[in-house]
Amino acid sequence: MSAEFRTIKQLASEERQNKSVSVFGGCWLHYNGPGSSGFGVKRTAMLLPESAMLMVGPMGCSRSGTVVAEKYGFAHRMFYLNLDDRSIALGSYLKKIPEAVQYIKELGQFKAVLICMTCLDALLGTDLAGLGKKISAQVGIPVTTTFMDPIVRDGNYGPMVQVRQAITNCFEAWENVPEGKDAINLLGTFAPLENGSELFALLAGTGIKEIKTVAGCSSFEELQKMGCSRANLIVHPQAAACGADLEKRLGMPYIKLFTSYVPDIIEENYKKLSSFLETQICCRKEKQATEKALSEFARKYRGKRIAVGEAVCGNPFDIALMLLGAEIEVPFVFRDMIHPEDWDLIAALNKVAPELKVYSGVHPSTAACPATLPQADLMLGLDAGYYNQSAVIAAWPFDRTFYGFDGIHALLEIMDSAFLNPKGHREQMQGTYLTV
Amino acid sequence: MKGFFRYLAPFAPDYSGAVSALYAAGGLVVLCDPGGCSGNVAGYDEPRFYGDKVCFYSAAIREMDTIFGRDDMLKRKICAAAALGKYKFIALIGTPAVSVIGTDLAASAKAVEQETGIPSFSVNTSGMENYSFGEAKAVMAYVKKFLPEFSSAAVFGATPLNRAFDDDLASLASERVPKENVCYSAGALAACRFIKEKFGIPYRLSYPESPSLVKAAEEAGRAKHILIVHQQGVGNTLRNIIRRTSDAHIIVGSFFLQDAEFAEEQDLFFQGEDELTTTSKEADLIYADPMYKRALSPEAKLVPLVHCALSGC
Repeated sequence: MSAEFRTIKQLASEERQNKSVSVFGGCWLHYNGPGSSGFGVKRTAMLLPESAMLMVGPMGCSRSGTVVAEKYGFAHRMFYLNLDDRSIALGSYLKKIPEAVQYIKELGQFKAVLICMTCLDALLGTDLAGLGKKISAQVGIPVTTTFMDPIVRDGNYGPMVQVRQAITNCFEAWENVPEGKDAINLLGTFAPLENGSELFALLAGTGIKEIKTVAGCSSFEELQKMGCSRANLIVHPQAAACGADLEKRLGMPYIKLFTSYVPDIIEENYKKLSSFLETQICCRKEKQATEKALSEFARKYRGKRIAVGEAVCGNPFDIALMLLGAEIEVPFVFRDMIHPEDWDLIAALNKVAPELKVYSGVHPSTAACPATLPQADLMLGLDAGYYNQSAVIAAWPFDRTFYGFDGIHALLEIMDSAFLNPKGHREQMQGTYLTV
Repeated sequence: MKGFFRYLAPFAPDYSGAVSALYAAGGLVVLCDPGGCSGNVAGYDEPRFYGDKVCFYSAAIREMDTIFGRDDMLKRKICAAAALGKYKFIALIGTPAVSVIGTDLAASAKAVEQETGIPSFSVNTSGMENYSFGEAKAVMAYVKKFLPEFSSAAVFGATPLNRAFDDDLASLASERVPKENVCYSAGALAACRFIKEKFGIPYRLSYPESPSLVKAAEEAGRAKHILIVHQQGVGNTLRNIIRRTSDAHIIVGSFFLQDAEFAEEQDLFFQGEDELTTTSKEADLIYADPMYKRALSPEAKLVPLVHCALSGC
């Protein structure tokens, strides 16, 4: 018995799909290993400044807010309406929601309420958006809504897409916000762009003075004003639907240039951004510096094998392509679902490493036979790291946002630091914590 | 407002209690959820999951499974995973998603048993009650499936969700050879009554006098009105220890299963935050998990009595 895998060559021979599909065909139990980390629905919802979150669902669905709400200091912003069989059968809980929102409003601490429902209401077909509008009018506080419904997590509108939409639905196209035209929004991040990012300098020459992110807003009003920005730059596939929404609702143009760690792709992205903004962005200097840093890293760690997990802020295929381009051996990558944006990367990988193995971190055979995974010296991502704790494990800092060539420098630093100062998996789990 | 929690976060749900009760029994435990519920178990409610042998999976139910009722797919998934290990039994645990669409998990378990030859059963949890109710259902289901095993006395409820602080219940349990069935929590009492009917074995509710509880009891001092908030087994044991040196009026209050046979007249079953807050105002000393603090009277002294069914394991 051994962990099942597919090669890049096998995946590349398949017909491209416009939806997410399972690497192994889908008919498997899932092993939710103790290595998934990063932002989930609740933690992402908490990026909405000055807001409270009302979870409406069975006790079990709200459970994950428990520890982490305390840890991250937003326990006072979380409220729970726990449902029981009877209230579901009668639908009586729907009448309690306005009362709960009224209570939250009367606390006087919050400018908006985000109501979150679960698989249960998704299955019952509750008109959550309509309910939110009605309650907002009734109670007199902005209300935005989302589902936390993992039953649709494999689709194009999974819970993480919906919660991002719930936040950007609060954007407004107010008049008399002239500074908005000098700003561009970065959508799809969990943190403000790192200080000193090359993007600030590159865009400064184009007349863009400010790069706004949801996480960078300190007030609800500031977040609403993001609707006045010149355009939206979508850096993560989960935010693509937000770009389309905002174009339709507020007339904001948008461009999808997902975070990449491959120098040629980044350069190409900047060219597309130049064209989008009808200006010139020259990144030759940044690219050269990055390629030099990449060569130095590859020389320093010659012979080291780096496996790429899914608990990373980026696409594992993209990161593997970057490493292989620097002549670093990649024994395998983790990917459970193939998403539409993966196909170009699979095609590119097929040219340089057709025998590269793709495993799923949640597949039962991986969980049952971790010793049969190929050997690696460094496991990138805590999900991969869980399966090989004798290797160096590099956890991804989900609370930082990188873009462009800076992302490569940051990734090299993360790996370098992991090699120089290795830390145990459990120790790093305590720091990064689980998906919430 | 019933069900509205302003200060407390939700407790470990019933399916976590079911998984916890069955976790160390050598079976394949399948939580019939889309993935989020199993994240709760793995992340907060079952510390034995980390680094342990693989025995707990999510059924990864998806929207189309619920629309088309693809129970055959569930069966195929479970049978494939069962082939990867050696399991004593297979348990199918219910969640909100399968509960609301009325999936017949008992029938699925029967089909799995026919296919694999491994004894299988279901636990009809729904995610809408707290862990103690799921523990009760799981223990009963297991006892009924493997009844001959219970012809001699045993310890029940030695799970992380039932313990106070991080008591090592496994080692505490190994120090005793019970002559009667011992329940560390009220969750297994129904099953023990069933066993008594079948084999005549008596039972009692008794959490061990662990060093952490003995130390906590020293904090009682001269308090006159004490409120203990935990599961009933821990609450009763702590009360017994305190009473050796104090004549305080002591209430064991709990959001979890309270068994009338082992409760005193003044003990309380809390149905919501308000009842806890009101009761706490009459106490001058409260033993409770620190996460209860925002719902408790600030006038009373709070002595930590960690319960990971609230604060996470």
